[in-house]
Amino acid sequence: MSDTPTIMPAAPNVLRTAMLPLTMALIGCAVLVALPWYASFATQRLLVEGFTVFAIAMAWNLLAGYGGLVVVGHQMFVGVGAYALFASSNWLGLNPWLCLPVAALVSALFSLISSVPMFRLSGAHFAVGTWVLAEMLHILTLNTSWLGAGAGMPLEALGDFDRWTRNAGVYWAALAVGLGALAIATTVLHGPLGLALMSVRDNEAAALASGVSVRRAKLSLWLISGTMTGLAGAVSYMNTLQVTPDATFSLNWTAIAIFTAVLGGIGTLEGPLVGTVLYFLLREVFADYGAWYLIGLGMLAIATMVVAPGGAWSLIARRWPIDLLGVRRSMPPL
Amino acid sequence: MLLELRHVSKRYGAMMVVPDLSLSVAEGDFVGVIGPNGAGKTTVFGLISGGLRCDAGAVVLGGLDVTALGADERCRAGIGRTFQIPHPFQGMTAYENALVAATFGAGLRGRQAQALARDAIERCGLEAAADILAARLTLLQRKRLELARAIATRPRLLLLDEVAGGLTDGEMNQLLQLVVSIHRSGVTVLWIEHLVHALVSAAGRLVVLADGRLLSDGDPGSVMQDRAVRETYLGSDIDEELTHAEH
Ligand SMILES: Nc1ncnc2c1ncn2[C@@H]1O[C@H](COP(=O)(O)OP(=O)(O)OP(=O)(O)O)[C@@H](O)[C@H]1O
Ligand SMILES: [Mg+2]
Repeated sequence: MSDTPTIMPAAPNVLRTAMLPLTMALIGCAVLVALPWYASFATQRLLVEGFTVFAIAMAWNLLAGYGGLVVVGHQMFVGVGAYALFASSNWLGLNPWLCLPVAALVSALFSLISSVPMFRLSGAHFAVGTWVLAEMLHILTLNTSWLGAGAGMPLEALGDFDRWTRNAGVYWAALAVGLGALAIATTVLHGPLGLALMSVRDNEAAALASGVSVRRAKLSLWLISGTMTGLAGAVSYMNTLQVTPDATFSLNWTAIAIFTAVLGGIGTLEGPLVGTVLYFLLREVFADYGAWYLIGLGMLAIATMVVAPGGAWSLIARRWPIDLLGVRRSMPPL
Repeated sequence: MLLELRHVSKRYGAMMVVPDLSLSVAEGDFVGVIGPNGAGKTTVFGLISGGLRCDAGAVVLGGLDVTALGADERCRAGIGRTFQIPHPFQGMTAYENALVAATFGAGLRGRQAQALARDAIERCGLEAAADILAARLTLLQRKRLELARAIATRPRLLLLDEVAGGLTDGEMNQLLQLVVSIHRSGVTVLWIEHLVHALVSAAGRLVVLADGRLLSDGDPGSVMQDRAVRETYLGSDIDEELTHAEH
């Protein structure tokens, strides 16, 4: 018996099933990339927020949901990324888009350095420790005159561009950040790091006994998530044109990230995606209710944790057996 | 010597579990480890594998002092272990459990890691359960998964902690053959088991622990004749087994 007859008819099928999602993804990308030519500035700005919040929530979700690292001071990465972009562009008089890699690099460096004190802590101490660090950076920027102190800084070089170019450019950067966050998270979780993280999440003693360096895995995750958040923060503040210590290092960033991840589903790749959509829907519909809106969000997050701890995605996945971005590895045939 | 314990000690709070233990295991040894419940057998495995830190003394693997190394580093240095109470990665399939060990314990990537994980799963008779979540495996399958994961780290020294609990005679024979074949392939084996007759048939050396001390150590025949061993086990199941083995 030869294997060939069974493989031959299967090949076109495999091709056809792979073609459909690929085609749809390509069309989707084209629609998104072309958006500045047919959508309003307001829509673009809303999507910039959406993409950056998604990336920040995804990073938080990677840390908490896959690394067991519950970060309460997640805004520190947002602040460091945004300030790095503004400072480097203003001082060097450079095109802000060219400074985005600088912001990513500074965020990566900051993640590396901050891991030294933070990784000495664990559990609740770690969570509180990240908040303390974020608050220290907040106070530090408040008192640093060459970073504009309490008044912050505008992004001067953006004034050189006309309104359309500015909006479209920021939109494209945000789109790249959002898609990049999804691609990186998916790649990471499909690779060895994802395997290590999931084993640690399930049983740390057994992971260690299987040769997994828990420390190295968590450090890698911290670097990836910190850089992702820093870059998203930088792009997000290109949208608002001004960084200030109070806004950029605000706990709000963490609150939004947690809310989004919890609502969508912590510890899944789809969760932040669903959560971001839900968060913006709720905001657009209910934001006029002021304080009640915020109280409502909080209640909803708590209700989600009680009723459906797996978030909205778990409800969807239970109803329809879809595994869009699944990371299962089945045993390969010989 | 592949493994040396030099005056190792361990206490839990006020309770001294291992007062002062020295033990050497040569490359290629097959050592059976027995002792009453609470004798400290699992604790000693923890000290060897790095899951537990010694309070004093040194653990030396292949001439290298590994006392200061963590469990993950000792695994990569060649110590594979099973847990007495199975510790599977619940949210992963049986195959993925073995893949973790092949990737990080054996340090392989891609196809090589996959092949090693697959081989471990098959050798442990888990191919039918390979793609099932570990949380859904039966206790017997989880015990086999412990073994599969341990051998997928490609150890030089394999520590087996009661992998045979609850097996039928037929299954026990299968397991015995598997461990013997692993040993033949060049792996040094330390095996804790209460089923003395199984150990006696396979092990070249028997170590008896009681209260964290080395009660007896030598070839299985003479160890079982040892007066101290007989007294420790007087009236227990193992006493019956020992008596049984004599005739
Ligand atoms: N984490 C722990 N904290 C406190 N005491 C412990 C701990 N682990 C084990 N002990 C105690 O240490 C002693 C030795 O335990 P250990 O598990 O090493 O024995 P064992 O020989 O493996 O026993 P068994 O045959 O029942 O598996 C026991 O008295 C046990 O109660
Ligand atoms: Mg034990």
